[in-house]
Amino acid sequence: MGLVNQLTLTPNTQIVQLMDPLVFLMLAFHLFFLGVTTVSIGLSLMTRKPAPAVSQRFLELMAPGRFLWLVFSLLPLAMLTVLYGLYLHGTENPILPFLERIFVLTLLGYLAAAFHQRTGKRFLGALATLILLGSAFHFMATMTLISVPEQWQFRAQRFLPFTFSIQVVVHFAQYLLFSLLLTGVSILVRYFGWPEGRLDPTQPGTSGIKTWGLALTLAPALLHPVVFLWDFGTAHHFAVSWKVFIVGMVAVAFLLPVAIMSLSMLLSNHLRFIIPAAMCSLLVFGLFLNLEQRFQNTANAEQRTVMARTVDSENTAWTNAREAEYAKSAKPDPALGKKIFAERCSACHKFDTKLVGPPYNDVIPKYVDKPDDLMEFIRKPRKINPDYPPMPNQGLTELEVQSVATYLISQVQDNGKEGGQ
Amino acid sequence: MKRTLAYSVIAGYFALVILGIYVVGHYWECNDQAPEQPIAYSHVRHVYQNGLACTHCHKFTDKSIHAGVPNLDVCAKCHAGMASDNPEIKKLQAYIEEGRPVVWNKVHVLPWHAHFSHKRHIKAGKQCEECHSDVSAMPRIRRARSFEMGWCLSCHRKNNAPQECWTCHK
Ligand code: HEC
Ligand code: HEC
Ligand code: HEC
Ligand code: HEC
Ligand code: HEC
Ligand code: HEC
Repeated sequence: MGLVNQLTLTPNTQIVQLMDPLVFLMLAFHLFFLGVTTVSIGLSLMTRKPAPAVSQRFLELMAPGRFLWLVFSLLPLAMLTVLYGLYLHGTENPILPFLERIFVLTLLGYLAAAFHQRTGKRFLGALATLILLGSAFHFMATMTLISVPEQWQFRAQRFLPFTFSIQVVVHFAQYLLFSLLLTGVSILVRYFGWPEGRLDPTQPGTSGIKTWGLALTLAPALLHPVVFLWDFGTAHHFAVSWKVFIVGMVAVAFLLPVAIMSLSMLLSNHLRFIIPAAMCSLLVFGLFLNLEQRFQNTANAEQRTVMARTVDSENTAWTNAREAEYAKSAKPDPALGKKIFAERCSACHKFDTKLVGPPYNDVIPKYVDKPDDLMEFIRKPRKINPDYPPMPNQGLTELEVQSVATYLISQVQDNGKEGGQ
Repeated sequence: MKRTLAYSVIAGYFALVILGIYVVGHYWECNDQAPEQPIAYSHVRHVYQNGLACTHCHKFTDKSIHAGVPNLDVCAKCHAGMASDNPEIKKLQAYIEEGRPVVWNKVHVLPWHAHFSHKRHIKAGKQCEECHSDVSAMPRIRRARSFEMGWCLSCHRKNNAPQECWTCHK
């Protein structure tokens, strides 16, 4: 927790703008890799006795022994921890410690998987599957928790964060179905769609893995719509916006071709639709992630606005500091002062009559010898006269403040002289 | 023949699910968390930009069960004489001149059987943000928490506040 907090500085504009696409990319890599690795190891274990050839193909699919997961899954997970650190900057949330623990868990899972592939020991494979499933469950629970800020204060001390909502179960079900679907699609593309190392589907040794690939594509595509509906039925009201329903409908619509194409390939024994089916599956996966992000963004809309504001005010403070430097050498400009008065102050002030604020002829004279006090008041208005409401901060730049103050004082002095004549 | 039937069944099932999502969406929209208001009053403008305190307008938060939505006297203090071309302010000034009250749409409504008191919670040191989130970032007020029983209870449990049914249901 402390470490991540130190790494995550206050966000700046570029990071705020980049954050959404970055989170999306990292989520896509991490969940894809994690899901397909878990499913392929699990199925490789299950098919080991009855169909050793199929089992071997499953094991080779993501090849955990080659440590690709370091780049494609663990690195994104670390990035996500940092990104969510920025996203939730300044809130009291239990998310970061959860993500850190999940990182360690995932690392252990992948290590077990890697040694399983190298040594072929069964219990290592079983261990890897279990740990990776567990870490995925906690990851999905944490992602759900981000979109339920009302629960944050009550989860801080707990190791298992998932007891707050049925949504966790729904999201984990969605994760599992996507893992199956993407494994199926990966098998088809890797062994039958990719030009290099393509297998011949007519060979007796390869039909097993082909059927698995098709079945793994078809079954989740058929089951998933119901889970989508369940997701919307249980979503927290305050995390929903009308756009998520549209995204959801489009996602389900794109699952239909996946289901039809894989069924057609299964029944007619051809492999013509591999690439379109894979494209549609990836698209649906992307839409699902977009949906989750929308849930999180709606639930944290205020937090995001406040974050953008912090950035703004830091930028203004910076420009103001520079302008103050510049204003020292520049002369306050009466013409600018007059313009500011006409544009910004005259809605509430006149010189001789009371409007929303007091007439200047009453209040300015006390500042004639103390222009610095007047500028200080214009920079940061405070409550003075109980007969009036408080004056809002006008957000002027340093030069504008000096110009309008000088203008007001000179006007009141002129009025005074006229009165005296 | 059989195959066409299978495809149509699948397509029909997908259509049903999409319809289902639409229905859920429609239900959600009917229970909108951020209803339109008769005047586009903005907390961003007044709380964040003008720096007004909540109690300037919601005067009864620490005195009564209800926080109270302000009546037009409060607005009139600033807006009655304000020179502005903003159509929303003109609308407000028309209300003020005619002495007609603005009927705001309620955003937070507990059912009749639940009893809630702002005074007790403010006196116990609870901040507005804990329940209403940061309204100074809401151009239009929305419900940012569920305001369901489980939510009330989880905070009561954490703070050792009373959890018997009759504290809230009278
Ligand atoms: C939204 C209406 C509004 C606007 C716009 C506004 N003021 Fe004011 N102003 C007030 C009110 C209300 C007061 C009385 C505040 C009080 O007494 O606490 C006030 C008071 C003042 C005072 C008197 C402070 C004192 O010591 O009594 C000065 C000076 C002043 N405003 C300058 C300005 C300048 C300069 C601008 C333009 C840059 C400006 N105001 C814009 C509403 C406004
Ligand atoms: C300038 C006056 C003003 C100030 C200051 C103000 N409000 Fe409001 N508030 C209103 C008005 C008017 C409404 C009703 C219109 C609406 O709902 O947008 C309202 C509505 C609300 C509601 C929703 C009420 C409902 O219908 O359930 C909440 C919650 C609320 N305000 C909280 C706050 C908090 C918290 C603050 C301080 C950070 C604050 N307000 C400051 C004027 C104000
Ligand atoms: C302390 C003074 C003050 C009070 C009290 C106040 N306002 Fe305002 N209001 C302002 C200022 C200043 C502006 C900005 C005027 C402008 O932009 O010309 C404003 C702007 C507005 C706008 C224009 C929309 C926008 O976002 O700019 C509306 C609508 C409005 N106020 C409604 C209300 C209502 C309703 C109340 C009473 C609940 C109220 N105001 C109370 C000072 C106040
Ligand atoms: C412990 C949680 C909690 C806190 C803290 C809290 N509120 Fe509320 N607020 C509620 C609930 C619950 C309602 C709905 C009340 C109802 O329908 O009877 C509500 C309703 C409101 C309303 C709508 C009008 C009304 O009175 O029913 C306003 C305005 C409001 N709150 C303002 C505030 C302000 C301003 C603060 C801070 C000073 C605040 N609230 C602090 C829970 C809270
Ligand atoms: C942010 C935390 C928090 C939330 C949310 C919250 N409460 Fe409370 N509530 C408290 C605390 C703390 C007390 C104890 C106040 C005291 O000791 O005077 C309390 C006291 C009460 C009491 C008075 C108990 C008595 O002894 O008479 C009622 C009634 C109540 N809450 C109802 C509700 C309802 C209804 C909700 C949900 C709409 C709710 N509260 C949400 C923190 C909360
Ligand atoms: C801290 C306050 C609080 C306590 C204590 C509390 N409730 Fe509730 N209850 C609520 C609120 C608030 C609602 C309204 C929720 C909503 O708007 O959906 C509610 C709603 C209900 C409902 C309506 C069904 C629903 O979920 O909307 C029932 C039934 C109910 N409560 C029973 C109980 C029983 C039985 C107990 C005692 C074990 C109890 N409540 C204790 C605050 C409380």
